[in-house]
Amino acid sequence: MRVEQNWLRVFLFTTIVAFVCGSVIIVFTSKNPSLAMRWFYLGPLSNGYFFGNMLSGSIPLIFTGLAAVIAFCAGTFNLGLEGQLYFGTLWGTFVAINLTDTSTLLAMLIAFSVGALIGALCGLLKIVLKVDELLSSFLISLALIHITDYFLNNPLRDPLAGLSATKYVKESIMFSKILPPSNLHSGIFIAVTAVFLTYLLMNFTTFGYQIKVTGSNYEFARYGGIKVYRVWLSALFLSGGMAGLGGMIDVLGVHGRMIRGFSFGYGFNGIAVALIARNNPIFVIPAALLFSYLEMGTQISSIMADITPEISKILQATIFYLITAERLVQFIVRKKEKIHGS
Amino acid sequence: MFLVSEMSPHIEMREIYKTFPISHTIALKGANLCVERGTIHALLGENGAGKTTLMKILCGLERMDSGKIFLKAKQVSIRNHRDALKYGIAMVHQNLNLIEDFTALENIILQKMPPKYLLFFDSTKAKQMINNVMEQNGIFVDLQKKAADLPVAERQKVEILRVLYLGAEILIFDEPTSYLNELESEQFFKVMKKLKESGKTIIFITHNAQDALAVSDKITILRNGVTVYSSKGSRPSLSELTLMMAGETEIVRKQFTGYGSKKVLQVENLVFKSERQIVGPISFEIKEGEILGLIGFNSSGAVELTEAIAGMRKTLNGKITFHGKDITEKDMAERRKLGVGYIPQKKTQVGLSTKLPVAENLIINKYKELSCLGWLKYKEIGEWSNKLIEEFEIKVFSPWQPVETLSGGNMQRVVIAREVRSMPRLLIACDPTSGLDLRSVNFVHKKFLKLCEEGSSILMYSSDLDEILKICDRILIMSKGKLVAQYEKDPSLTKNKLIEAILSNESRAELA
Repeated sequence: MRVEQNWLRVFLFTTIVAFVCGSVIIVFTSKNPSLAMRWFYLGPLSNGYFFGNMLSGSIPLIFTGLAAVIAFCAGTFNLGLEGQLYFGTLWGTFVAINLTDTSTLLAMLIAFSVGALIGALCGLLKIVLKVDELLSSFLISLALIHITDYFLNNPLRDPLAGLSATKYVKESIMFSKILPPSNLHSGIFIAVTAVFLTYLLMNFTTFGYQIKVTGSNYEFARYGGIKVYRVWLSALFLSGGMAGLGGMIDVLGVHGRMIRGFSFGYGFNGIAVALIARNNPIFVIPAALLFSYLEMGTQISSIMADITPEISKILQATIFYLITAERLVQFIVRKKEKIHGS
Repeated sequence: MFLVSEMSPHIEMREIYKTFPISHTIALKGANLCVERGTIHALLGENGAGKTTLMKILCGLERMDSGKIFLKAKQVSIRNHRDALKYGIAMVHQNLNLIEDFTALENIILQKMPPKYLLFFDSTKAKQMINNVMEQNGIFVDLQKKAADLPVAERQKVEILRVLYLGAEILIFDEPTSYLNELESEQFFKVMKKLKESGKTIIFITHNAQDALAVSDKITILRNGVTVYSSKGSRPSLSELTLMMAGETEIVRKQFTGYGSKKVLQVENLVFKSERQIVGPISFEIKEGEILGLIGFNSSGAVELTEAIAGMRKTLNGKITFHGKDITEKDMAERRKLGVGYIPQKKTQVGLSTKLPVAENLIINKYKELSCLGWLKYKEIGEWSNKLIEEFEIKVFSPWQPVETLSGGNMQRVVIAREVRSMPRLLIACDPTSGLDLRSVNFVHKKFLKLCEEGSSILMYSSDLDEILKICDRILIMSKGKLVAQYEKDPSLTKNKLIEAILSNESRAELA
């Protein structure tokens, strides 16, 4: 609560601290620190191409971030976002390629349902067999990633493609580009809508109330007559669905086909996004943008300056750790309390 | 020399101020406290008077805004609980947070283990040291038993030994008797006296003037964050004390008016499993407008019985009929819909979600009525919450403030307000007033009686026998998972009779 009230200030402060630490790393590793820093920090904003790519890169993160927020709010941990996204997208793409009378909506629906069913499966295991969803979701997801890779390598592989990928989907069902030549596509409006809808759902509906109560104290929820199992199940269902949807929109907007490893960690990064956003759906947008911005900065500076990809990854990770550091936030809040208190 | 140290105050707290900016409350407005060495000092006051806050400041768990603390006439600054411990001040926690899987010994030495070869832990030495502590103070527990197997009173002793082992000379107890029944309280008072005999100073926070009079040498009363009384010489009477604590008080007592013949609840041969034992078979019934009291020790299964009837616990066998409907297999939600209200014993763990706002805690049994097509009607939720807050005098500055910022008594009022105001046909209440001051207790009892006048029934478990005698029409006694006795309300029934009835069925060894 207290943290949420100060969210923006805390966010800005930690970001600045993190960036200072990042700069120190650059100074120590680069022969031309000012050039490297310029590309790392300003590169993503320097032209329309990079900026558009940054925005489009944030779209799947917004979805996985929302997916994690929904699961966390209900007090469940969905660590299987990656697998749900990957597997959901596979079947969404499969339908998009093979069904003659296909549409964007149908592909999205399939990806959503497949992801959601996997999420719900973890929920079922939790309820019926008392398997911790933290483990089951993670392990199922690991297996699904390999199964998906098999499909991409063999039955669904486009023989003409040079890498493990499916055929291209029809141009007509792709999202339209907004800022060519960058990858930015109209899927971003769906992402913003999803954020808004999730916000409404969590804060203004009885279902959101049930999720909040269950997540904050499930004994109390049970005591109050809320069907805790049903809440867990539907939260994991929605969570998995969101993840699947995020991958599908990325394919329909950017790649046009499903490529092996197209998701470089959207699932796990989504969890980080949710942590930064402190489980508030609205804050998922800035958190995802920040993530995507760092990703772009990493890529650009390794091309344009003498920072190797490894160093930029370390840089990215440092900044990230610092921002997610709960301790730091608590420290700041306590400091503020003291100032107001005296 | 001895006389001097006897006369001069051991601890003195002067003009302590404390505000909590988050909840906009002023907890202490210049409180004073003066405790002499080797005495039992009662810190008395109503809920929210600032007793706990004052003691937390002394223990370094909270920091004061302004004020001075003197120890043996020297000013000290206590910044954290380590500082406090350095001066020998420690609080004995009441929630009894022992690690269940550890033995008593392991729980005691957890914070400071005697090392062996720098790396390992020297259990023989530890045992020796604790045996010394036990002998010095005359408090003994079985060190080899696991915490989970110890009864409440023994667990409390383990907590006491823990702070003694850390070198505490001044022990602070926060509402030590609120979760103990009469006999356990007696046992506990004996422990306090033993500690006093071995030279320890004891400050003991309570809202119960009777307890304060029973054991303490000196009494200080706080009201709204100010010290209104500190005892010198002659001892005040019980009524004087309560008057100073609260102002007016009246005793609420249920008049036997005769209740309807309609059965509200009928329990037949109910059997269920609790953590300790199989409880049952149990059969009883409650009539319309009746308050049925249920008493028994912690091990008797009485609390678990209330949970089973409320729907929080699965039954193995038997039948529960509510207004002619079989509800044995129905879950909490359906029972609530039929008109069962429930005040659980663990109010903060089960009865509330402390991180959520007061309003969202107040509507858990009503949120569906306060919504339209799945959308919450926030305006009506706010109005409803304000109504409850006003009616039950819950001290908040906004219904949207998180419950965790309220004082313990106010949290309890949130639970009671919600359950009573939903107009249940059967209210199951488990220790509804434990930890409340006399005025609040009367307030709650009045609400209960009003419910009964309107035709509802109440099943009440309480560890406070006075409360049971005051408002119950009929009393059931449980022991070792069975119903063992039943008393109709009549004027000749006394507390001693009830205690005897419980004891005759319980092995005395378990209490000693």
